[in-house]
Amino acid sequence: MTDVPMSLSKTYRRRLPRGFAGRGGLWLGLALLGGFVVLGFAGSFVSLPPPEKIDLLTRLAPPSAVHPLGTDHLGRDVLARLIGAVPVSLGAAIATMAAILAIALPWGLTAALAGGKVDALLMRLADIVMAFPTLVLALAVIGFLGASLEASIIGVAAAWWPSNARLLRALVLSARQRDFVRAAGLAGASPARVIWRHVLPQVLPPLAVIVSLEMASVLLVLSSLSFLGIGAQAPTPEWGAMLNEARPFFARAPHMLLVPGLAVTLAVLAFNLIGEGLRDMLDQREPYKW
Amino acid sequence: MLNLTKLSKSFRGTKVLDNIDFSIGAGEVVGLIGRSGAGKSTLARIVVGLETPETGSIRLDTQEITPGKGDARRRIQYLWQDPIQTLSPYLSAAGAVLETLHGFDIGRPQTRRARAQDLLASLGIVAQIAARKPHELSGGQCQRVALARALAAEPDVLILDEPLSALDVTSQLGVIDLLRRVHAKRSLSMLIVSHDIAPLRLLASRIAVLDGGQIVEDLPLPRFFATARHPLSRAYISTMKVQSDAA
Repeated sequence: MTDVPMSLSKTYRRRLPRGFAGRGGLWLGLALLGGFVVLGFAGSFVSLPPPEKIDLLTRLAPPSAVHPLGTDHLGRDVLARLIGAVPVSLGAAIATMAAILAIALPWGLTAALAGGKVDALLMRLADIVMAFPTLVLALAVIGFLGASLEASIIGVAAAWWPSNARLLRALVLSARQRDFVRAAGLAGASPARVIWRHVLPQVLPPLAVIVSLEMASVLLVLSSLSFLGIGAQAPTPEWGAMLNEARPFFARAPHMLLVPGLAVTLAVLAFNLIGEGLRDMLDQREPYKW
Repeated sequence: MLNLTKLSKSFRGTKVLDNIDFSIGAGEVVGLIGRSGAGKSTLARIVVGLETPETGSIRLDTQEITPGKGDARRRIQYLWQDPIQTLSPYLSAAGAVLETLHGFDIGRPQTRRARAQDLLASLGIVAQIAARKPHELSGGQCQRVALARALAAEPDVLILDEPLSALDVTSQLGVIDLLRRVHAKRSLSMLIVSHDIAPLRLLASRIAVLDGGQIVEDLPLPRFFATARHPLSRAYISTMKVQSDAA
């Protein structure tokens, strides 16, 4: 006999992913990020002075043919420093996010999967860390390790991981409650397979969105720390540090402030647009509408 | 075959099951009927380990079992109320059946894929449909796949929790026919939980009525319709009469 689809199945039916079509924000975010990657590699192909090279005779020069984005207060080429800062600023954000995930992933997964006392213990420890204001804790760690970009990466990661661990735990707990996950367990799937094949595929898409959005926040915090002088140290080119150096010369050489400021803004915008775009796209990929 | 003794369960102080003694014989198809919230599904879920009883024990043959653990996990299979929600959106129909064959180590690894395809085909899911994921299947097809997955475990007891309630009438008839054929072929013991007596009349050899946390009537099918005395049983029988008169 012929099966007639359930009337409800239309509601439940998976909406096919439209992929990237009609997702201008996601495209723009990817284009911006791609632009930064190209910019990061451009230094190898374009003849520019080293970003640390000082030339006091050309200090605070406005944009010109020789220095397309002008020079800073020490006569260093701003374009060379902007390009040199791409791997430093973005690399630091990526390293920080990786460190956060390296702690939060096993922490959240273990808490959600073990349950009971292990869950309670891990979550109370996370709560203790979360009880400190994020920036204060990061500053305390940096103060202990000494001001440097590496210290600010460790400091931000140390203060930032608990919220991600909590979020991950919640995602796993929610994923485990789905009927098809429990049904797979009853139907013979081993606990490891249930986690690998049925729980993690539900957790990874929202995690990708969270990582994209968190990257923007992490980039801003790291730039802020460098702006305050406790992140990247001179003469390392870094957008936050460049903003700090530009502060006293804003009236005389606004390009010193505008260039790194625009870079931070566009990078944050790129990560936010990618995160938002991914969220919209993955919502469409949700297997069923609940 | 399956014996439940002194089973009790409460939710937030409300006793849903109250010292229930209940059994299903080998090859017997028992229909469990009752009002919404009477505890029918709770009883079914306890048998497969999805709920934990406060008191009582469960025996399979003569062995006391922990539901959902050890060999009992394979021997007692469960068919969920809403089939589309209980099949993984990440696996094809064949993948779902294969997972069970792998999980319970049934058959030789090289032959499992063919075995899964054969099982699905015997339930009307041809290879082309078996390659599809749940959202690409109809409700009736999903229920067949779920049934194939349960049967892949080679169970002795099949618990069916409202197996027809999420299906349209045409699909319901198809699944009823399928369950009858499966029972005739495999002589499985079945417990069919339902709030509707019509499908039980077509499937069950015995009907039990659950009300107020207790089994208030438990009779073979012909005697149930002839001699059931409990007001709820009479009400169910009268609904059947109304339906047949209307037809």
